[in-house]
Amino acid sequence: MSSTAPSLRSISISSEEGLDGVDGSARFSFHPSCSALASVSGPITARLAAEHPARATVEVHVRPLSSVPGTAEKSRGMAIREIVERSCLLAQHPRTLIQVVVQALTNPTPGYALLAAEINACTLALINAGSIAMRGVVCAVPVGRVKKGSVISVEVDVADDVVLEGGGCFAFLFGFAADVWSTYSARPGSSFDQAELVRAREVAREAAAEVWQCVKNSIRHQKTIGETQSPHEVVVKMEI
Amino acid sequence: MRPPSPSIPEKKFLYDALKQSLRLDGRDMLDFRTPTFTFGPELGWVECAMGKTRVIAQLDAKMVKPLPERPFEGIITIHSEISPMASPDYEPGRPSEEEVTLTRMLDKVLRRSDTIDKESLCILAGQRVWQLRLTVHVLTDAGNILDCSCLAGIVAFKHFRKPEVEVIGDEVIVHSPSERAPISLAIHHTPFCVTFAFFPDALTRPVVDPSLLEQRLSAGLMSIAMNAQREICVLHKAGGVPTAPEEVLRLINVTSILVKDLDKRVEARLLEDWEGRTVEVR
Repeated sequence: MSSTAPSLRSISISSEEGLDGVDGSARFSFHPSCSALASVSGPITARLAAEHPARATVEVHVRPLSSVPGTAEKSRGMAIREIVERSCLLAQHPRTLIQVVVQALTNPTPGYALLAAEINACTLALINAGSIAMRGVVCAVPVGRVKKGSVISVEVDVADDVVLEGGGCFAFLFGFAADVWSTYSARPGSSFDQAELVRAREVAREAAAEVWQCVKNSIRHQKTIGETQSPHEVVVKMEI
Repeated sequence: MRPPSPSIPEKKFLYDALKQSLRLDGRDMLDFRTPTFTFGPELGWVECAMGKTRVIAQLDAKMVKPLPERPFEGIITIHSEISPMASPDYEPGRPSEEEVTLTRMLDKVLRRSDTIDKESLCILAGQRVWQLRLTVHVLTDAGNILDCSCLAGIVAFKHFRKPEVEVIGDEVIVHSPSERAPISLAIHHTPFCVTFAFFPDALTRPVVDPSLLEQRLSAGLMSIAMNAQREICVLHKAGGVPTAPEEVLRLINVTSILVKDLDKRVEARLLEDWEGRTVEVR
């Protein structure tokens, strides 16, 4: 296992994307094996068939690194759509469309690391867009365990993945510190019990708090338009 | 709801500027945007950026049974669906005209122009060959995704290394990259694609590497795929402005100069990246 204490030193966030055709974009990776790029356009015009009279419609497209999207991508897309629908205030933009496109930049692993990276990338892209109000910041982490009863730790390494016998992905909404989405499964030949699920959630919660801290740090260090010095050197002048 | 670009003032401004041989981003009429390449940790992953246009190309290989009518040749497949990330105008599942042109050109430039030696991909005749799968993702469309995609594709082919395979009788042993250094693909020649945009006014000269606005307002496009040895691989001019043969020849000469420069740049960048990687050969 990479470590028993969840340490996520190897997270890399980049919101300096500036993809030109969309409203917001960001790249998130659990170095070096798991990387995803997400883009958000919204609120934009929805097709007549897709618009909802009281809230915004959310459309999520997940694309794998190689080949065409398949069922795994569709399932991740559904998970991300549920998360976005719950974390954004959709009632503020009725009859519009929020289009989220997630591009996986590394090949998928049997575990849930890529899904967690994609969820985090979506959150960052929504923050980068700045056009949709959110209830909180959603951070996700993958967890895994080697065998039944053994210690659960954060699974981000591809090398660990082959020995895992069970694992899942937990997403938390910071702002309410609520568990917004989770999945946990055991690989064929193994099983898990309720106590293990509770333990897994606690491990994931701590790790997700670290991810949240990384997200906050990355935004703190972002440069705004026209800014050339670090924030504490800028003198703000107000004219009344 | 914002009316679709381009608006009438944008159109007039662009046409008037082009009449005076001025381009909106300050380039010369025959100036190509300088491409920059970022290589991923894996071999065969490259992100190509030309100005704001960005494309990722990824190549992977697996062993399959060859087609019965061609038992000695490998298989190359190219996937190039444009996602709504490039621009919300692209809808998945409904290929726009541009997407169809992109797919066709990638197929002609990278596959049918015999860039890769398909027979070198054969492992065991009639039973096992390499299938190369190139996936092209367009991240941003700021004009001329065709040239950017072809460039990313050919650089991905040059960057990729396939695992070494040993054939003993009927047995095939694939060596992992840590045991034996992977080998590069047999590439016959390196085609690069250059696109020209023509405008309705007869006095306006064609421009190289159109930006998004120039592409939308052009009357016709012509793409020439050529290699550094001055051999034309593909010349694609689908309708558009009637052009004299002398003009076409002039543009072909322009392309050959641009392609030589591109070739040098690509080779230098690939060498730079290769030296940065630690590949131990025992």
